[in-house]
Amino acid sequence: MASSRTLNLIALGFLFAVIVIVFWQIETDFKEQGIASGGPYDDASLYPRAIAIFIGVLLVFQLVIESFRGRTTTLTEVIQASDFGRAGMMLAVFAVYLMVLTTIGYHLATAPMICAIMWICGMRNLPKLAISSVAIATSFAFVFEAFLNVVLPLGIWNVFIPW
Amino acid sequence: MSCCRSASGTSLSPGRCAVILDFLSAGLDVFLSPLALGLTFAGIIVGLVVGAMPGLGPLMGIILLLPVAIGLPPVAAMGFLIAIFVGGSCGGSISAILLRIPGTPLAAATLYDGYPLAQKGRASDAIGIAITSSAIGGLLGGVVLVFCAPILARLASNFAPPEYTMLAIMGLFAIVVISGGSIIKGLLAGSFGLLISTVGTDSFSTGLRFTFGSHNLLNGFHIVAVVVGLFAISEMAAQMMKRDLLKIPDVKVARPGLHTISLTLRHYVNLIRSSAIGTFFGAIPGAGGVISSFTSYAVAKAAARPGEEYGEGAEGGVVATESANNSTVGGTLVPTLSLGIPGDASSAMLLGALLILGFIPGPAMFENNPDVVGGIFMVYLASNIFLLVAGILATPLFVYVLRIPKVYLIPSILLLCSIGTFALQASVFDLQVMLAFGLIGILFRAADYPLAPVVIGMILGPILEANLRRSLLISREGYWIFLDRPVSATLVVVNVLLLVAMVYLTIKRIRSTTKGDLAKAMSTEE
Repeated sequence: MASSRTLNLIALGFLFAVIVIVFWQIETDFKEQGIASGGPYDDASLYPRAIAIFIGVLLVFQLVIESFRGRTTTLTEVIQASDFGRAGMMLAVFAVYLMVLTTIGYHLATAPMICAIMWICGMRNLPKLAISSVAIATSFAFVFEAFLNVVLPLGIWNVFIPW
Repeated sequence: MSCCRSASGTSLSPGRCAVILDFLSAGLDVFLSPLALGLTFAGIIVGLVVGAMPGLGPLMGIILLLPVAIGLPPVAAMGFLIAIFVGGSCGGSISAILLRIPGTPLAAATLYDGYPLAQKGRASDAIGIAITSSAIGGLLGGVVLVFCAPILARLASNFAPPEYTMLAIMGLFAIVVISGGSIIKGLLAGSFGLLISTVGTDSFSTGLRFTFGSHNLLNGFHIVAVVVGLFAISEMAAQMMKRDLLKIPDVKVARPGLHTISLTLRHYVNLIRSSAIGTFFGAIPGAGGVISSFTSYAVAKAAARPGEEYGEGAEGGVVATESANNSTVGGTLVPTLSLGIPGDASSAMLLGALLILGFIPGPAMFENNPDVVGGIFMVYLASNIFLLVAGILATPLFVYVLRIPKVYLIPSILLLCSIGTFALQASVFDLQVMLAFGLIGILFRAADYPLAPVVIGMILGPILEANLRRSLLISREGYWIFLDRPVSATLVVVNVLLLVAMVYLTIKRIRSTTKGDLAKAMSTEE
């Protein structure tokens, strides 16, 4: 499992990628639109460029600090891999839910998502899982659809509950 | 509009009270609607519930219910969100007293005396004192808000783009310096927030920035989708890493009575002093409730009478921390409303809500929308009164909520995040943004980057950029405009001092870390 230094370096890498994107966009898309130079009114790159440079300077400082730091406690000493696995599985289930939400609709997608997350949490009582996931999904739908007039995704089969 | 004219046109020194009364009467008209009253009361209940639940807190409450609020009339929406802020700031004390787990960091100092009081069999008294102190502290903070915000807004009405540019930079710097942790990481997080705010159509040149040809990005990222992802999704991932997901917490029922009001009022000097400390720290961007509650606790302990044993269940300890952290809410709303500079992440979300509702906090809002400003004053004052009533009467309900295992809470919160974010614009893209920022939030948390500066950077970003470019447009001497004007030059000096403080703190931190590593290495070799 990653040490805190590795995680710091990943975060720095992410921020470095962000400033690369900023300069790449300024050199390509901004120039094509004619907004990469000129006075304060026309130059839309002035501000993002300044911030990207500021981030770049801070990244250098942070890298220097990281190089001074010793390798610190690994996260595995605090959190087991299985605990990370639970969080990862939850995110995977949630990502799949968001992908299928518009296709199969809120009412068909939500209860299985809740059921799966409860299962990942460790609940193994099947009737309890089924009842509570349907109850949570339906009660949220009732509040949002009946009280707040939100139209939840109906999916390709137009599944809805006429409250 | 007559109220507007009198509010803006009256000289503040002779007619200050009249101006304030104008705001309050304009606000009372819009506040006294069943919807605004009902939602303010509901907000207090929601705030107490989210505050009491460890891992949630007022910020999460505001974030989760922001999508619901922005479809409502302005004062009702702000009443709901401000009441969540007020209730959430107090709710953390319930779990601190009963479980020895502060529901929010704001209640961490309440542990010192709240839990020992509960151990002595006085849990109900401790909760009653915490709620009463919070309500009275909040009301005293409200008085400062009502009196100071219009004055500050009046002063700020003379500000031009250079002053606003420097104020925005100051807000970001102050939050990074005071909020603790690594200064460079705080600045990186804040700068990342500033960059996120540039995505979309540039309001000056109308050019498209970082949209990658996607029409979904023409208006940039929706702040709610970003914030829900950064905070709520990453928090749920963090909760999933814990092992007590099926456990039902063992909580004893507490029923505070009205006699706790008199118990609290016995400590009136402590109450007023701690509320003053809380309001002061609240008004400083970045300081917030945690610093104010620990400071007021330390001051109260230093000023304690011989009989009072702080740390062993002294009522004064609970009074000091709870009155301070709730009065902070009033203080933090002063710069948020009058200058448009948020005091902390929760007030940044309130500022974001006002922007989404179509109001730009600052002097112009005091001039053009006195009913909204007055309405916000009214909902804040009413929230604290409702807190006293609901807190004392409904504590058994909050205690019951503490017994709900996380296995039910985590999927419910994820569902609330997704429906709420979808409801903003019926957009699946917002859900994808939420998930993407959830992953960024997890990375930032794991690498120990603070998340609050990202949000504050995102909110201050458009203010900073627009005023920077306006300053340069009106300037004949480029960047010298920031030194030509006295107020702007003063703010430049403050920003330079904050920068010096950041460099000093960073060097100090590096030295202590290096020393620590050396000592560790030496002990390992031995």
